[in-house]
Amino acid sequence: MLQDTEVLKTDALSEIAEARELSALEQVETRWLGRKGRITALLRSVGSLPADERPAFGQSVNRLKAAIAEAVAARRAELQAAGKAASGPALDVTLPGRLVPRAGGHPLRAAIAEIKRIFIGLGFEVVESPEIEEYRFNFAALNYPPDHPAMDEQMSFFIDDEHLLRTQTTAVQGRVFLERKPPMRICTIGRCFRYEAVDATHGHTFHQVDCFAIDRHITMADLKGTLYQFAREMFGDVEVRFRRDFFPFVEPGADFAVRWKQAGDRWLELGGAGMIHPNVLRMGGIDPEEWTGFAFGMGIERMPMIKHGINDLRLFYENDIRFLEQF
Amino acid sequence: MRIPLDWVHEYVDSRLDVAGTSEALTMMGLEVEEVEQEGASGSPVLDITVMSNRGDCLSMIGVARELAAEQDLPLKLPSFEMEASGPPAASLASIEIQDPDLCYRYAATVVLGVRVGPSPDWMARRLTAAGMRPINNIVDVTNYVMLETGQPLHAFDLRLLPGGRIVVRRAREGETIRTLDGVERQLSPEMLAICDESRPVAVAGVMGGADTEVTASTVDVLIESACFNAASVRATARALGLPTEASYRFERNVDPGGTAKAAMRAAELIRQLAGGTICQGVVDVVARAAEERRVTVRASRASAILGIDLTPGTCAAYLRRLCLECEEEGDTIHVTVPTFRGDITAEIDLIEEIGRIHGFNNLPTTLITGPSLQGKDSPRGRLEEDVRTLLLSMGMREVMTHSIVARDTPGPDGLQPVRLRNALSEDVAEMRRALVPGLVQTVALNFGRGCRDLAIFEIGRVFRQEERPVESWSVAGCLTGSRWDGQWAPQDRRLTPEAFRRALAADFYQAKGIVEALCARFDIPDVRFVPGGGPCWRRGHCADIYSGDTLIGQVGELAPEFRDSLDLKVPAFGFEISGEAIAAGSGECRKWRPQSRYPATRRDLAVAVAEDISYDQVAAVIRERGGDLLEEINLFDVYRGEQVGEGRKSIGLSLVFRSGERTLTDEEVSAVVEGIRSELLGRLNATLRES
Repeated sequence: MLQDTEVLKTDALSEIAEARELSALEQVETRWLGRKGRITALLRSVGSLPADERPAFGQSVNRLKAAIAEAVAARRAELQAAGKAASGPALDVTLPGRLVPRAGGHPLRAAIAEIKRIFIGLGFEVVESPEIEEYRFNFAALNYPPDHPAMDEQMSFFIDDEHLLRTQTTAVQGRVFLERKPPMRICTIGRCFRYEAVDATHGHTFHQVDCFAIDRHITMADLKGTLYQFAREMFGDVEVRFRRDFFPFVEPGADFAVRWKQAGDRWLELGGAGMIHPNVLRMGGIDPEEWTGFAFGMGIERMPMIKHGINDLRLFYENDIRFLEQF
Repeated sequence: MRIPLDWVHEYVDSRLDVAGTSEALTMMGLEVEEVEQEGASGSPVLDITVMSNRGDCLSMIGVARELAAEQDLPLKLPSFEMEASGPPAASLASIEIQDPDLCYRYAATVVLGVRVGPSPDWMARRLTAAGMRPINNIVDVTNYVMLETGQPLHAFDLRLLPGGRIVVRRAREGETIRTLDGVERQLSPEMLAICDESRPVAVAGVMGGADTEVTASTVDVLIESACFNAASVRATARALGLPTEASYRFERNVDPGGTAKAAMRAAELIRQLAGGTICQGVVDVVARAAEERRVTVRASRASAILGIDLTPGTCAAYLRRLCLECEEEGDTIHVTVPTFRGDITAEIDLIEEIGRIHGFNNLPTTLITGPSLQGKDSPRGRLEEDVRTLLLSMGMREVMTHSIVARDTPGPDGLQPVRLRNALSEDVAEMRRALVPGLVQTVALNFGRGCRDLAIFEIGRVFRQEERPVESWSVAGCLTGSRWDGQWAPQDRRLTPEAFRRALAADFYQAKGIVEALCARFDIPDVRFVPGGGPCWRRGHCADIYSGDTLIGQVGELAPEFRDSLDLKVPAFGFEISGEAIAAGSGECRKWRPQSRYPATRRDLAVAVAEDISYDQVAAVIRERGGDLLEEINLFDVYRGEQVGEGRKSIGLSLVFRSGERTLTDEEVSAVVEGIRSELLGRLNATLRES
C-alpha cells in the first residue's frame, strides 16, 4: 500500500504539471482533493486494513495529500502569472473615463444650501413664506409709513388690491408673529421681485435670505457677531463693516459689507441689518420693553457672484449648461 | 446729491481730507458714491446718497452738521439777517392758506427794484459744481439758498401777481398751468396749487409757473418759502411725472422751523447781488406751528440695545454733538429735538443717534446668549433636498428658471394664471402655472447653442388664480437627445457610439422611469398612469398621473407645435409632479420586511395580445394568478411583427418566483405559470409562449 501512494503521487504531480489553464487545474484538484476525490477514497479505505498497518498508511496518505495541495498551489501561481502576461497590452489609462449620466447642481442652489447650513448651525429655524404676499406684511407690518419715499426702493409688481409679489423676504416677520411667541430665531430664504428692467446687475427677480432673532437680551453686538460669523464661514478670511443705513423696520439700522482680498479688496455690500424697530414688535404683539431683537436680510446672487467672479446676474436664470457645469 | 467740499467747509472747520471726509460721511449714513477730485468750483465734489428719512441732510448745512458731529466740532451757521429799508412787505403782499392740511406755513419776502442779470462767478461755479444750471441772479439765489439750507424757494415776479395776493389752495377741476419747463399741465383737486386771485401760478412744492417767472424785465420779486405736506407733494410730483429738486426735498420733510429764515437769507443775498431794496418784515402765515419735540432716552435702554455700557453723561455728550439739547435726570436724558430733525420722535431714534456717534464698528461683536434654540430646516426644505438628491443621483442637472413668465405661456388645462397688474413687458407678465414650459425654454436655449443632450430638473413654486392667488410647488424635468452624450464607446463591446446613443435616447418611458422612481422614493400610494393631455403635450403621448383619485402630475412628450415655437427641433420629454403629492406620500416611516433566504426561479414568457390590450391589463392578470409566489414582473421587450400577426403585439416578460419559506420546485412554478397561461387566454385572448 505504501508503494501505491508513491505511484499515486507521481500520477497526481504529472496531471498537475500538464494542466494548461486554471480551469483544468481546478478539475485536477477536484479529482484528487475534492469531497468525492481519490484521496478521500483512500482515507475511507483505511478501515479495511489490519489495525497495525493503519497508522503508517494514514500518515503516508496525509503526506500525499499535502504534497498534492502544495503542487496545485504552485501550479496555480504559475498559471496566474502566465495569464497576466498573456492578457495583451496594458490599458491606456489616460483615455477619458466614462460617466453616464452627468449630473450637477445650480450655483445659486449651492449658495442657498450653504447659507442654510450656516444659519441652522447658529440656531435659526428655516420657515417658508409666500412669494405672492399681502401688502400689509410687505409694508405696513414693517413700519413703512403710508406712501413714503422708502418705498421707492421697493418698486413692486402688483397682483390685486391686496397682493403683490414680495419685494423683500422680511415680509415673513408679520406672518411669524401671528403664530409664535419669543424667544425665536427665524430664517427664510426665497425669491423677491422688484419692478426693474433687467441688466447685468439688476433683475426683476432675485433671492434673499432674511433672519431675525428675538430674545430677552439681544443686542446690536449680537447682530454684529452673528453676521461676522456668517461672513467668515461663507467667505473665509474677510473684514466686516457696519455703517448706518435706513430701513423702516429696524433701528438702529445698518448696512453690512465685507472686504475680501480675493474679490478686489473693496467693500461689497451684502445687505441691511439692524435692531427690530419697537413699532414692528408692538404690531406683532411683542412687548419691546421685555424683548429685543435683530433682523437682517441679504441678497443671495451677490455671494456666488463674489465667490466665483461671475459678472452677470442673468446667467443664473439663463441656465446655459456650459455655465452650470462649471460649478 | 452733489456736495462741493469748499461749500460745506464754510460751515465747519473740518480736519479731514477728502478720503477721510468720504469715509466719515459714509459711516454716518451719508454714503459717498463717487468723488470728483475737482468740480466746477475747483474743489472736490462728493456725490452722496441721503437716506429717505434724513431730509435734513439734503443741504450743505445738513452735511456740515453731520461732519461737525462726527468730529465733535462747532457748526458755523451763516447770517439769516436781512438789511431791510423798504416799505413793510405786508403792504405789498398778502397770503392766505386755504388748506392747512397740505400747507403748514407760507412765508414771503419782497425785494423791490432788482437788476436781473447773471450771477457772479463764484455762485455760478458753486451751483454748477452742485449740479444745477445757473439762470439769473434771482433764480440762482433761490437755488443757492435751497442747496445751502435744504429749504426750496421760488421767486415770483411780484408785478405779475395781481394785488400781490397769494392763495394756497387745492387746484380746481379743469385748471391748468404752464410750468417753468414750458409744459401745459392739467391739475386736479388732489393737488395743492399756489394761486393768485384767479388762477394757479405754481404747483406747490413742485415747480413754478411760466407766466409769473422772473425774467430780464422783472423789477420786483417775491420770494416764497413754504412748508408743504410731504405725502401731498410726493403724490403731485408723481401724478405730473415731474420730480424736481424741490419736490425731492419736500417729500423728505423740510425743516418747518426754517421757513422764514430761508426767505430772509435769500432776500439779503438778492440785495447783495442784484441790488434793490428789501421790504421790511416777512409775510409769514403759520397754519401749523413747528414744535420742538421733547423725547427722552434711558442710558440703560441704550446700553441694552447697543450691547455696551453707556453712562447718561456719555449719551448726552453724543447727542449734544448732533445739536440736540439734553437735560440729564438720573438714568434718563430729556432731549429737545430741533425742528429740522423730524425723524426723531421716539427713544429708539435717539438710541440710534447714540450708536451712530459711538460708531457701529466700535460696538463689540458677540453671539446670542440665552436659551438655546434648535436650528433646523423647514419640512418642505428637507423634502426638497431629498427630491434634489434623488434627481441628481439619476444624472439630472438642476436649473432655476423665472417665476414671472410671458403672457399666455401654456400651462395645465383649467388653471388660471396669476396676472401682474403692471407687467414689465409681454415677456414678464404673469406667474408660471407649471415648471415644464420654463424647462423646455431652457432646453431650447441650450439646443440653440449646440447642446443636444440634456436631462434637467427644477424644484420651484407655481401659482394659479382662484378666488385669491394660490401658491404651491412642484418638481419637473425635461429630457432631450440621449443620456449617452457623445462619449466614446469601447471597441470590445462591438457597439458604435451611435448605437449607444440610440439605446439611451430620451423617450416617454425614460421620463416615466424618473417619475416612477420619485413615486417609489416618496411612497406616493396607488400610482396610476392614464392617457392624458394638455396644451403642452403631444396628443397620444402623454399620461396623467394619479395617486388614487387625485391628479398629481403629468408625463409625456412635449407638443411639437410648442417646441417649434421655441425653435427646438428635436423631441423633448417632460414630467411634472405636485409637491403636495410628494409631501403627502412621505409621512410615514417605512417598516422592514425580511428578505427571503431561498433562491428565486425565473421564467421568461412572451405574451401575444391584441394591440388594444394594455400592459397594465396583462400584468394585473399575471399578478393575480401569480399570487404570493410571484415576486417580480420585469418587462424586457415589446415586439410587433409578422411572427405575432397583424393587430397584435408580443410582450416579453421575465417573472421571478420566490417563497419566503422554502426552495420552490420546478413543478410548483410550472403549475403557477400554467394557471397564468389559461387565465390570460380566457380573459385577454392572449397566447403565452415560454422561452
